[in-house]
Amino acid sequence: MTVQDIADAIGMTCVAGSSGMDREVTSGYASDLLSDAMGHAQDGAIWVTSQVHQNVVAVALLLNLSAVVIAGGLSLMEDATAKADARSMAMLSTDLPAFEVVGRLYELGVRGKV
Amino acid sequence: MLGAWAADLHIHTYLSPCASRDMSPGAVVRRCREVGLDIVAITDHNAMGNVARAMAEAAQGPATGPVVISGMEVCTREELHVLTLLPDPTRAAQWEALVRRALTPGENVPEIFGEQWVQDAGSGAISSDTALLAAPTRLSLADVVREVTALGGACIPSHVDRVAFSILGQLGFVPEGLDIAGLEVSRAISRDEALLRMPQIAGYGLISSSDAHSLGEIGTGCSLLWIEEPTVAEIILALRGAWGRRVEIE
Repeated sequence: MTVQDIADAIGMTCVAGSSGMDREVTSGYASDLLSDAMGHAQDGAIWVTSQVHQNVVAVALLLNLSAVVIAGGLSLMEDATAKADARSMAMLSTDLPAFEVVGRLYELGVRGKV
Repeated sequence: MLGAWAADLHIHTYLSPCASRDMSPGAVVRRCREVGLDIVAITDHNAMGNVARAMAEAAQGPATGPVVISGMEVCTREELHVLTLLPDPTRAAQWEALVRRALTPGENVPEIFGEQWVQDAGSGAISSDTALLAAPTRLSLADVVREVTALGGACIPSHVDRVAFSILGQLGFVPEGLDIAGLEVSRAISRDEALLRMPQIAGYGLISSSDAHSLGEIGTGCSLLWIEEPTVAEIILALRGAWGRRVEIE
């Protein structure tokens, strides 16, 4: 399943890094702490968070994640948008709260690594 | 006797991976002088490698100044930023060594986070700090406050009005009984606006700073300190409004 497939299925908007929408999603992770995501999110994971600054994009790039979902209707900060566009890191936005996003990802077959 | 000192206690150099590449300690100091700052703190993320060079540049004639305070903006385990100001280079070195041991293990990836340049205070040679300075440290807010206070320094949580990396954004409120010197509001917001939006910060001494990540931002935010001499001890007194010392911000 690609980032695009997931965005279409849940009804999420790509707000930056749209050239990365064809990446394959291989797992999921949810956290609002960068240190926690850095320690546990897997290569290819889609990361659900409510942090909106540029270090989110940097961590996603560092870990080679497939996409980031900004949940709860929050807006990505401008410098983060620029970084995601430059490095093709798909940033998705939704009004759904994080809990709801994770539930819908799970329904689509996305699993965390336990 | 009390005098008024124009202060910007939150300025980055090109050691911070997110700062502009022309922010050498010399260029920063010269710009601070141009805009009329009397006292500045060099506060890179989780490191102090350019403070000594900035002090050396500020002491070089013919025009000298501003007074440079040893500072560091620490990212705590709660992922909030705190300005730490140390009273002298010896205690600054102790603090830096402690933070260094608490950094997230790993190396910086310049293509992702940005370059981290350090200029040697004596020779002027430029090298790269390879540590992962962009990541949070393992120190909690309470750890930072305890250690810095024990060294005679000041802790001032950064840009409390911002969502990202601020004490209010991450914790929701300022924990009671925390021995901080004061709080910083970003240059985006006035004192009155800050107090209206965040009534919980009333009662804390407030500074406003530029948080400059580029040379052009230096001078865009500052605080007027009414103090006897440009020391961290006096800054702490001013933030507490003690013995006639005080801080004025717009």
